[in-house]
Amino acid sequence: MWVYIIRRLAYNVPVYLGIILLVMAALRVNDPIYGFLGKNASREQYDRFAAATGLDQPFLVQYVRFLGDIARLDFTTESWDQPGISVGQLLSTAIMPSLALTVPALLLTTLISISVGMISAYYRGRLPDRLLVLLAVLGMSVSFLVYIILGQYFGAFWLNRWLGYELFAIAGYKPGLIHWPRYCLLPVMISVIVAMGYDTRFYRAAMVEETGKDYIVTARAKGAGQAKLMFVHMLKNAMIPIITRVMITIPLLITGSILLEMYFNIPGMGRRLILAINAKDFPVVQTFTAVFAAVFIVTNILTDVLYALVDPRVRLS
Amino acid sequence: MDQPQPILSVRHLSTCFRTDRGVVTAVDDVSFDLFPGESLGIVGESGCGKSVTSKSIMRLLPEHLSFLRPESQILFDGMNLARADERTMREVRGNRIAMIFQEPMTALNPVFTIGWQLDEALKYHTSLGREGRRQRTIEMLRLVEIPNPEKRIREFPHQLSGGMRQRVLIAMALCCEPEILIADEPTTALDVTIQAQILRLMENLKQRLGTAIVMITHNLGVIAQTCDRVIVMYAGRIVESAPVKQLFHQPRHPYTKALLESIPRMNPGDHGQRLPSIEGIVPSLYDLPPGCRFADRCPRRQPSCVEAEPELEPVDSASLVRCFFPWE
Amino acid sequence: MTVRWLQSRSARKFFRHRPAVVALVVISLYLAVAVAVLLGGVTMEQTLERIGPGNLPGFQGRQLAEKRVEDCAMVLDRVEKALKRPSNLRAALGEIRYGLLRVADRPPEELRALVDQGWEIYDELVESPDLNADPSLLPQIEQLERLTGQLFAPLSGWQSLVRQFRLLLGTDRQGRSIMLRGVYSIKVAIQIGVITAFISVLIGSLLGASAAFFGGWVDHVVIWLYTTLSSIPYLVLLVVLAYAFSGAVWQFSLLGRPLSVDVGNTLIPVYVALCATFWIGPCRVIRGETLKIKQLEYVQAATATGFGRLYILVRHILPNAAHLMLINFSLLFIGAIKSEVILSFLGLGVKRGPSWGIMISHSAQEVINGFFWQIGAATVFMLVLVLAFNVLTDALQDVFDPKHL
Repeated sequence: MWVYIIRRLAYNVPVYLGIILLVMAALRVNDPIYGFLGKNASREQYDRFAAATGLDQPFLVQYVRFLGDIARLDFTTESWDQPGISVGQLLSTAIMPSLALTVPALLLTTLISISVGMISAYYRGRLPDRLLVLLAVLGMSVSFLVYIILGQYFGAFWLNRWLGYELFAIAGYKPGLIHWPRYCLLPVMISVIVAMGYDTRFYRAAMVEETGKDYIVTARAKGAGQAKLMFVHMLKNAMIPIITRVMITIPLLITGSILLEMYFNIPGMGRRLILAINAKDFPVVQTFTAVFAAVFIVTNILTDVLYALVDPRVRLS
Repeated sequence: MDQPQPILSVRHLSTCFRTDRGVVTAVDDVSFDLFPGESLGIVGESGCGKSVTSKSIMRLLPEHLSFLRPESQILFDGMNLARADERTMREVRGNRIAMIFQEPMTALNPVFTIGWQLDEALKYHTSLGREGRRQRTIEMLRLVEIPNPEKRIREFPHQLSGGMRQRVLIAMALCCEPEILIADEPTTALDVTIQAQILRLMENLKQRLGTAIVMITHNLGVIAQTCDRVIVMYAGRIVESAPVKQLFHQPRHPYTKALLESIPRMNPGDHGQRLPSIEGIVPSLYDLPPGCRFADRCPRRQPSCVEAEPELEPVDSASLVRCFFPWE
Repeated sequence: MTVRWLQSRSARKFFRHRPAVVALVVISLYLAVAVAVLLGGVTMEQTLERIGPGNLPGFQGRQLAEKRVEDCAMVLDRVEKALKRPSNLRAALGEIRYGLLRVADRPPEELRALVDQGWEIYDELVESPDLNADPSLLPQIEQLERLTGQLFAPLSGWQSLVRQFRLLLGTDRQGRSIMLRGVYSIKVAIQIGVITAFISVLIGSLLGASAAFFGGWVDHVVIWLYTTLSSIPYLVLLVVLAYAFSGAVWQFSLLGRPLSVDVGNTLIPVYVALCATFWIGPCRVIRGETLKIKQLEYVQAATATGFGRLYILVRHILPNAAHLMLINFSLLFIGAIKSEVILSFLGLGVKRGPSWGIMISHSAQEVINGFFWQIGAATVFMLVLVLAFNVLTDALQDVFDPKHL
C-alpha cells in the first residue's frame, strides 16, 4: 500500500512541475510589468520594477526560484497592488472562507446526490425515477449564475422581507462558526442544488449499471434482500465511479465557489484571485494559481489512494 | 409403491418480456416435474428459453421488464413460487433452491472476499455463529476440492482461476444444503479439461448430498454425462421430453434428431464427410408462425404442420413429444 | 455515407427515440435563427438601441401606475428639453428615438402644446397620495399615455408589428428589447459553442488517436499534457488565460498589409481558454477507443497487409470513433454555452453586444427590484437549447455507446 502511495506521489511530481511551467509561461505572454504600471511607464521605471521583483532574470531562473518558494512554502513575496502585504498573508486570510464554503458543499452534495441517485435507481423506469431524471436534466440546463441570482433574491431579499428579519445575509462574511449559517449556508445550498443535477444522474447511472451485473443475480440467488443488494453489494462496487465523481466535483466546487465568493462578497481564494487579476497583481495571480493546482494534485493522489482502499484489484495489482 | 412425489412441479409456465417492440413470450406453456435426487437436463439452442425458465423458477428476472402469465404455476413444497412474495422467495433462494451461473468470472462480487461471499449465504439461512460459519465455509471449499481453503477465504475473486471460481460458486450454492440445484450452463465458459472436472465434482456432490439438479445447457455431451432425463426446448416450447438413454438412442422429434446428428463423432467411416447442420433459422419470438415452430426447418414437414401447432403428447410410457409425425 | 447511415440500425434506433427527434428539430430551429441573425436579421446596433422605457414587462403585462406615469414623464422631459433648443430643433428632436418610433413631424407649437398638456395631467396625478392603489385615476393615466403617444409619428402596419415583436418580452433596465437581445444571443451562443466544440474535438481526437496509435513517447507527452492541464481548475485556467490576453494586441501582416488585433476585446481569449480545457475530454475518450480498435482483427489485418500507419489511422480508426466525437461535440457545446455565462459575469467573456451571459449578469440588479423578464428570457432561451443538446447527447449515447456510464 505504501509503495502504491509513493508511486502515485512520484507520478504527480512531473505533472505539478508542468503546471507551474505552463502557468508561469502563460502569465508572461503579455508583459505583467507593463500590465501593472500601464503602457506609458518609462523605460527606467520599468527596469527598476523588474529588478526589484526579479522579473529581469532569465525565465529558467525565475522558474527554479518560484519552485523553491513553493517547495519551502515561502510565500513572503510582496503583493504589487497592496504593498507591505505578502502573498502568504493574503492566502492565509482567504483559506478559511473558501473552506467554509467548499467543504460543507462537497459533503452535502455527495450525500444528497448519492441518496437521490439511489432512490432513482431503485424506482428505475417508474414514475419517481422518471420525475427525478426529468428534474435533473432540467436543472442541468440552467446556468449556475441564474441559480445564484435567484437564490440570493429568494433566499435573502424575499425571505427576509417575508419573515421580517434577516435569516440569511444578502452578502458578506464573518469568521466563526456562529456566523456560518447566516453568511455561508445560502451559498452552500445554491452550490448543492447546482451540482445535484449532474451528480444524481451520474450516481443513478452508476447504480443502474451495477444492477445489471451478474454478481447481483448471484447475490439474489443466495437470498439477499433489496436493501442488502443496494447498500452492500452495489454500493461498494459503485464506490469507484462515485469516488471518481466526487473528485471531479472538487474542481467544479472551486469554480463554483469563485462565482459564489464574487457574488456573495465572501473573501475567499477565488474572490482574491479575481480581484488580483483585475488589479494586475502578478505575484498574487501566480501564487494563487499554483496553490489551486496543488490542491488539485492532492485530491488526485487522494483519489488514487481511495480507489486502492475500495477496490482490491487496484490495491493488489 | 406409488410414483414418487415430485419436489418441483412446473405447470404452464409462461414468461413474457416487455420490450420496445411489444410483449414477447420467451417461455411458452412449459410444464415438467423434478423428482428428488434426479438430474434433469434442459437443452436447446441459445434463445430457446432454457435460461429464462431457470430464472423464472427462482424469480430472478427483473420485475419491471418481465412477468409470468397468471396461469403459470411453480409448485414447490406446497407453495406456488409463481405467486410467492419477495419475502418467501428470499427464504427459498439459496436455502432450498440454489443456482449456479454460466460466467464464473463475473458472477462473484469483485470487491468482497470469497469468504465473505460464502458467509453471506450462511448468514441469511442458518443460525450459525461467526466461527461456525467460518468452519462451514472452509468445509464447503474443501468439499469442492479447493486447495488451501483457510487461505482462500481471504482472497478476492480476481485472484482465482475460472475453474476455481466455479467451484466457489458451487460451494456457495450448496452450503445451505438445498433440495434443488439449478445449474445454468455451469461449464460453458470453462476449458474442456476443467469442464470435465467440474461435472465430475457435481456428480459426486449429487451422490453425497442427494440434491436434485436441473442442468441447463446447449451441450448434449454434458447432458449425456450427467442427466437422467432430458427436456428439449425450441423457441420457448418443450418439443420433447424423455429419459436420457432413450433420447440419445431413439430421438422422436425431428429437431432432437437433427441436434444429435450435428454432434461431431469419431467414426472411421465418416472421414471427409460434412457435419450435418440444421438449415434455416429459429423463428423470431416477435413473429411466431401459427403452426409448428420448427416446421420451417423440418425435413418431415407436411402441409398440415404449418396450419396448426401440435400438442405435447405421450408417445410411450416415458416420453412426450410435440410433433404430428414423430420418428418411430 | 449519410444516406447509408440513415438506413442503418442505429439510425432507426435514434429516430424511434422521440424526444431526440424533437431535440433535433429544436436545434435546427436555433441554427436557422443563428444563420438569419448572421445574415443581418438582427444587428448588434439594434440590440443596443433604446426602444422604450426601461423594465417594461413582456406580453404587455400590467405595470404599477406610478411606473407608467414616470415612463411618460421621461418622454415628456426629453421632448421638452429638445424643444428648448430652437437653434437646431430638427436635430435635437431627431435624436429622440425609441427603435422605430420617431418624434412626429409636427410644428413645434403643436408638440409644445402636447407636452404642456401632458405635464398638467402629470402634475395632477403626482398630487395623489397613493397613485398605485387608486383605480379612479386610471382614465387619466391612459389619457397621459395617449398624449405621449401622439408625440410620435404613427407607425405603418408592418412597422407596428415589428415594434410589437420587439416589445414582446419587455425591455431591460436601459429600455432595450429583451427579445432582440435574446435572439441575437442565439447567434453568439452557437458561434461560441460550434467553434469551441469543433476545435476541441478536432485537437482532442487527433492527439488522443495519435497517442494511442503510435504509443511510446507520443503517448507519454499527450498524457502528461492532459494530466497537467486538467490539474488546474478550469475556471482558474480560464481566468489566468483571460488575464494573460487582456490588453494584448497582436500585430502581424496578412498579404502584405499590417494587421493589429486587439485580442483582449475579441472572443479569442474565450476560445483559447475553453479549448485549452475542453480538448481533454475527447482526447481521453478517443485514446481509449483507439487502444480498443487497435486490437481488433481488421486493423491488424490492415497492418499485416502493409498499409501505412497514417492511412490506417485516418481510414480505419478515426471513422470508427466518429460516434464518440459526435457525443463529445454535443457535450462540449453545452459546456461552452454555460461557460460563456460565467466568463461574461466575471467580465472576461463577451465584450461587445449582448449574450445570454451578459443578459443574465446584467439582470442581477433588475431581479433585486423584482423584475424577472430579462433573466427569465435569457434562461428560457438557453434552457431550451441546452436541454435539446442534453436530450440529444443522451440519445446518441443510447444508440452508439449503450454501455456508457
